[in-house]
Amino acid sequence: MSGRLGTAALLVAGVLALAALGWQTSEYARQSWWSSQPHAALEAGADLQGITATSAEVARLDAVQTWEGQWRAPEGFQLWSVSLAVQTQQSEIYAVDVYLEDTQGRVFEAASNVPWSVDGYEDRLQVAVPEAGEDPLPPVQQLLVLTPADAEPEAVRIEGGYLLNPEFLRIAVQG
Amino acid sequence: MTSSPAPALASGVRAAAWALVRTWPRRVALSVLVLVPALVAGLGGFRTVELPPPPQVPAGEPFDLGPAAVRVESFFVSDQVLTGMLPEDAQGWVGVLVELSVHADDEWSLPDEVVAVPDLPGGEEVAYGVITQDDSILTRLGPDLPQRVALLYPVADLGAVGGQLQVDLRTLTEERSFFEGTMRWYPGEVGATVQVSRTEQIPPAMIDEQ
Amino acid sequence: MPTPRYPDPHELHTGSVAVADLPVEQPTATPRRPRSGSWLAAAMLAVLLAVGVVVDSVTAENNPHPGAAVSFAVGEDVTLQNFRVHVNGARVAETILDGERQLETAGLWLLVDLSYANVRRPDLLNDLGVRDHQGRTYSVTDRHSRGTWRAAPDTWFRGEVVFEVPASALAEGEVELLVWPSGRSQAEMVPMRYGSTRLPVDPAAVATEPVEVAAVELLPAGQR
Repeated sequence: MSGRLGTAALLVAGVLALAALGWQTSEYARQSWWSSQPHAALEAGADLQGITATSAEVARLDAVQTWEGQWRAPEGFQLWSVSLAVQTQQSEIYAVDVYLEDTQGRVFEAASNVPWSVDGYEDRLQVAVPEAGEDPLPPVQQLLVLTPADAEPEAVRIEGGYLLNPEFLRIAVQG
Repeated sequence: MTSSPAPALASGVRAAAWALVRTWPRRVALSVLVLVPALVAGLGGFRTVELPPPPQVPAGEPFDLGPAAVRVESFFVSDQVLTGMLPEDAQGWVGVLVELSVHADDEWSLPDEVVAVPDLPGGEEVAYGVITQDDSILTRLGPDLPQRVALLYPVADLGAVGGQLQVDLRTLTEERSFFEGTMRWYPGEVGATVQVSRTEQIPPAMIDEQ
Repeated sequence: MPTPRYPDPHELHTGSVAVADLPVEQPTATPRRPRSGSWLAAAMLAVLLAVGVVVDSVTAENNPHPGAAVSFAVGEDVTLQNFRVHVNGARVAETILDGERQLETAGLWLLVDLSYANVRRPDLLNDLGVRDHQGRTYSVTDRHSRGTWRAAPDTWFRGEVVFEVPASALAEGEVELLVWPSGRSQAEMVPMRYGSTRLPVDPAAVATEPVEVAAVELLPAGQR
């Protein structure tokens, strides 16, 4: 009987020793890597360090007007306009990134692979409280996103990279 | 009867000495231990020796650093090159013109302290290496792709630099790094010195536009 | 009269001769084999020691898991973590242009024409390498300002990446192109997938006029 008990104790000790080793060696992954990944989604209206957005509208665009003329999405691609109503109470962070997530789980960055400086569209989402004398933030900010034509938008993500990770806002697309 | 400490100590020492020389193998081992250092000392084996100075390599001759060979050609003095990177308290640069060629089978970066100009204040480390052909900053060298490079050292007083400079070359040794367990090249002692002369021919691509 | 026995040192501990004879006298009554627990403990100790010795002697050169190379062919899509890569081919030049600058080399410039897209999130393909038949390894040159570029999920971009190699690296008519999706430092030490393809290079077809590196372009759907 005592032999069985001893064997069980030995096994438990072995498992505990391996677990302790694993815990020790995974310290970087747990503390630095995992917390730097955007994995903690906050819903619409939730407070992300003083920033929140209540709704996101996504609309198909055929073309936009640039200073060089009309720009259409390349063949096989779709251009989208993302409209976000942002409220902010902080002035530490000036701008954050916007991504469009589709039903296949793919994530596309706003203002990337689209023309620069199109009138009425931002390159990044402005999130700082304007200083005295500055223009107030527009009630709705618009950004352009390019996706493959088969992408069906599911959510808009607002991410602040290392400033805000692991938290980000994930706002389900209406309609 | 009380035993005083001194006789107790003496008898202890006597017992220990007897234990050391009690058998023949012990006697032989002891005599070797005592006699060999005495013999070496008697023959002068422990005296300090003056190391010969590192050999002089003529300018333009290659010298093997370990993973790479370096050929030190000449040096120039200029306040017209890499002006954007000049430290605030420096007037200009001394540029040592070298050709570097890696013969290891992977890319290699020149450690800052391998080529030094001991006569210059601040000449212990290279500030920048610039590829003379296209004025780009040297970051790494590919195997068997010789590159002509100007190694730049900031100088506070350009007028004080003479017509000759001594350049020290440190050899590198490959050792296993303690933490990563990989083989790395570590700078060692000065393996050679080169006397180089000043040239007025600054590589044209390096000269900044006014 | 029995001769007096000189006391055996063991007897001082066992206390009597009879105890020393015990194994001979009662081999079947109570088998005195060690309990299974101590065998297990000894075995575990041996395993732990062996693991310790093996782990301690692992170096970069004899690492039992030098990464997981995924072979793929030129002209074929390969998925490597967050990247889908397609190599189109390569050309060789004596001199290349970077804006108005002419870049010269003691070797040759190898321009690899490739396309890639991402799988889940936009990302930059950082590390690419060329290895020749002698095992010499070269990464993307930083003398040319191009480097690599950022793609997006199922959004393919095509362009040229530039390597500076000695002419002798191309003598065999092919080089190995390495794609390290999570960085080179990881690729050959840990079991992560990286790509490897045999890239044919014609050492006789070297452009002697300065060559412009192809601009990066977004490809219409379905093109590589």
